[in-house]
Amino acid sequence: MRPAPATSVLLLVALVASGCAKPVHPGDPISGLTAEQRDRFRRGRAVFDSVFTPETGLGPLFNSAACGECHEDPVSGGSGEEVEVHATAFHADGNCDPLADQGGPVIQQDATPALKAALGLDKEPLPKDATGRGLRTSLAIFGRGLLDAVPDSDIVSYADPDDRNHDGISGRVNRFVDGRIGRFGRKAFVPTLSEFNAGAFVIEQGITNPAVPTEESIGGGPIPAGVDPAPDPEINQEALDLTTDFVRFLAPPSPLRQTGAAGKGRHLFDQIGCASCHLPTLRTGKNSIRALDRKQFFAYTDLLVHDMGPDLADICLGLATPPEFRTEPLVGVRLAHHFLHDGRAATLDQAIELHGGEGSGARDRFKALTPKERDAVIAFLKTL
Amino acid sequence: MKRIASAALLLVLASTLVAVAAQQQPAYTSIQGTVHALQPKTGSFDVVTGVGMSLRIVHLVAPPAGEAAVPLSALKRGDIVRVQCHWSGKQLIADRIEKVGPR
Repeated sequence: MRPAPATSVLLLVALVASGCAKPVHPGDPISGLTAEQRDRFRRGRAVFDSVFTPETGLGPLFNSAACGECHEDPVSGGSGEEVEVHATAFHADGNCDPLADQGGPVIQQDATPALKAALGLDKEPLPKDATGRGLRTSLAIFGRGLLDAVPDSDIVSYADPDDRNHDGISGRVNRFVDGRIGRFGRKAFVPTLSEFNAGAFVIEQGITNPAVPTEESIGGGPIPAGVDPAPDPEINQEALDLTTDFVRFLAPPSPLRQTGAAGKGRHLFDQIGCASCHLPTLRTGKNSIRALDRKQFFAYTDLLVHDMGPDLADICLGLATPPEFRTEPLVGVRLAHHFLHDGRAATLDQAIELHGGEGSGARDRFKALTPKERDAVIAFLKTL
Repeated sequence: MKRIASAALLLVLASTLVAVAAQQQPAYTSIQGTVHALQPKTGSFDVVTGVGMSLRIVHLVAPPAGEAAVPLSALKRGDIVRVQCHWSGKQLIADRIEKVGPR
């Protein structure tokens, strides 16, 4: 059950009021951590910013040499200019093939000198059976620990796959290959933060770890002998756990003051239906970490996938069809320079106007607003 | 005394060899993933599994007819399965296949 708008507004007021005392800046840890957890946050940030080389395990295929290379603006954990390539095959029977036997779904865009010398490749080839190719910008990852701690049952409760309430919005849960409910990634495919990070070390940097002890293939083929001399796993469990703790404890930045136009924009955001998918607040469940235990927080997402229309469609992943994408969490959107999954929108106005499918109703209502009202919605978004 | 020392040495050596052999085998005894492909002629099938966005295809040989909770013929691409399996020395043998659900 989605929170009623009036409840959301009350929660917003309460959260903003509580945030007034001590604003959280981008890159800050969440409040309420123990001294030991704050220490792990600091040490995890050091691993996150570590630059790998072929000698320390980088590659043989990779997208970047450090987590912090793609998540750097304005601080570690922020966004980046890098754009990566994903490819999958969507079949007529509705099945999605992630093309894992051909190097998918993430197609690395760089290679170590040793791999280039051995195979003459400077990036992974696009799978021959791909029916779709998607570009993915590097987004800010503030507040992901809180998203990780939202109970699956809450996500399920927001879904309305058959649009029984006839509001034109029929969000549904995506599922991982083993059937668990997903929430991370632009298609809400990955169930947990720790798994997302462990997988990211391998697909983004070619850094094997105890959770993923083997390298990605080269377009489905084997790695030539001698190309990847670092012994596996290339980082240990402690380094992996520290990195996950850094991301887990990275706080969502406090919204800026929402007065004047921004205050009006906040109400319009709700009235025109944006908040039907971009749910302003979510709540974590019971959690062994006190700072994540039953916390209400700004999210602006329902963690569901929605059909966004044919113009935005690219790849399938899990249950998500090519036009289905996870509702983007808007926390920290004021810090972004490009919008939508592939960065095709240079402004927030453009991003809204490119919403199709289930987002077309809210888009049309946005377009029907007066210029002053539209500016107010944008002013509100720029406080998040 | 010499015999006891030799026996102890052999025991340590044997334990080490067993441990090394165990390390060389794939760790999983149970996997859960999506059926990617079925090869009825060879009685084998492939399952997509993985961690995060790092996905892998695992090739398994199905158990003889009648020994699986779900026979290979009842599976189709996209089904989610839990497979109890063991390493034969050459390939992964599925001992038991359970259908967890359709996608």
